[in-house]
Amino acid sequence: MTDLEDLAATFTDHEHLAPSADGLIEAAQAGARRIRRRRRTGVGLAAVAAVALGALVPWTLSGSDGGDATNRPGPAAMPRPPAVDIDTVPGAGYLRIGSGFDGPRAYAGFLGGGRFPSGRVTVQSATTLDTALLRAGEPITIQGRPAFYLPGFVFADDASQGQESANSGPLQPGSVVPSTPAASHSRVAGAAPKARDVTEPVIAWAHDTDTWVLVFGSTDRTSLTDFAERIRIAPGPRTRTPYRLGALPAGFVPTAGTGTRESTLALAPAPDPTAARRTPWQPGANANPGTLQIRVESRGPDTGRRPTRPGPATLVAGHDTWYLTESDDNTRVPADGAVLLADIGACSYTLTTRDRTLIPYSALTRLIETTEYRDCADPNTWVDPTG
Amino acid sequence: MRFEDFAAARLPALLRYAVLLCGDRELARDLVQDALTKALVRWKRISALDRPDAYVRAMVTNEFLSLRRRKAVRTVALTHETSAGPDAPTVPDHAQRFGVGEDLWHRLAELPRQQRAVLVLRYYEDLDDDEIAATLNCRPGTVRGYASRALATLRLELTRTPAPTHGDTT
Repeated sequence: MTDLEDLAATFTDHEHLAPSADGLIEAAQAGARRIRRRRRTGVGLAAVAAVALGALVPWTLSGSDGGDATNRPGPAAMPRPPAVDIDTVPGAGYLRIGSGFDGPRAYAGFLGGGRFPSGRVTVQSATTLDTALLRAGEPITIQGRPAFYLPGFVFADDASQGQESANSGPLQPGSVVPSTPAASHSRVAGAAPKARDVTEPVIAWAHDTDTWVLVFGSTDRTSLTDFAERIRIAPGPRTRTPYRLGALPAGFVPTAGTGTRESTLALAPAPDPTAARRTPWQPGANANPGTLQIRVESRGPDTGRRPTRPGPATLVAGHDTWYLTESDDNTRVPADGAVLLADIGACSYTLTTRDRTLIPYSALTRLIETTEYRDCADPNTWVDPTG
Repeated sequence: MRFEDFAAARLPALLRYAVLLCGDRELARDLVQDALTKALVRWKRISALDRPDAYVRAMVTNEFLSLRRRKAVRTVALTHETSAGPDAPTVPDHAQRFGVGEDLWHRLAELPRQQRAVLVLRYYEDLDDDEIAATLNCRPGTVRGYASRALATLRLELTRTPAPTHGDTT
């Protein structure tokens, strides 16, 4: 048995768990501004809604297109990207200019002797591809193993993909559609390539029973074959970042990441199912921004980047930070989102959340507090962000 | 009183109160931040009250009691298990290294929220039952009921070391 003195002492003993008050007043002020703004716009929206309702009711009564979103199948569970390191053999003459992962696939881009990347590689789960169509390509041998050359692969355009997948019969959503001689000019089941889709030669082979490698980026068959021969795929982290995270929002996983000189990591509750059907034409540029994104760039004198910061800083774990819920001249903040800027050593960190209710200020500051930092200017020090 | 002055003076106490209510420092910060945000929107009216601090403390309490409606995702320490996704464990309790009162602290965490709030208000904030009732917007009898059930659950002896009198030298 214990007595009330023990109870009072228990409270006193645990009051040290109270968090720091740093930034709370600023966050409250930002939140209050948001509430006031919403109240102002709410009045206007109510009037607009009343007018819109009047217009909508007759349309509803006359019947819409009959589509029922609730009856559509949900997105299939997406596999995690292969944990591989994609590179070329030493001395091959290629410079890796970007690598990472996006949704269920790992990718890398390489610069050859010219000005533009001369080769790109993706490694992804067989479940995200129509392997039967890949195997319909011309059989060749790459690195001593069976491979397939497809002169007219069609990489679907992002914007039209949803409609395309609905028309493509046996294709799984997001699969890469080969336009091989066998398949003639039709993609499949009579679905013609869309105007914005991109067609180019691809060499593909099964890396193991579960994953496939796609090599593309050159329209010249000889160059593409030469490049494919020099690809090396080894086990490794999905991406490397100049930091190792110490905490994450519960249930969140990295869904996209890229990094060479700059590092970007996207996190969300689940991998983005649309990522499998995007083409990594510019590695990282089209990565899913995720619900939470961490971008790091060097702000050292060698880069010439000295970002303008919005007003006085708030110290978080000894680092200067700025919390924004509205865009300014230098920082774009997503609607309903927030951005936490942090200067950590010679590195500029930008933490962007698309939902500041889901990821509040306290979650962002905890990321800053619990993360282990490396030198963002030296990729040799970079590590697996969740390793 | 300006909101900034009030917040600067009362924030540490509010954060201590919040962490004792919910037992989690990140959640405590969220509770106080949400309460402060709402308080700032109504600050003209709140600042005119006799006890703005009591009002804001009641707002923090209400945030705690309505936690189920909260949408925010908790942040968890990153381990190999958490990176696996939804099966992530919860934040480790940093108080585990403190042995004294640890058992009682864990038992407090299992109490219903109203009961825990009553205990914190009564034995940490030193409020009487009328003040607690005003904070929780209930009757004093209800407060006594919550306290009685909470203490029974914790199996506490209803004894308290007598306060020293003026004649005591210790």
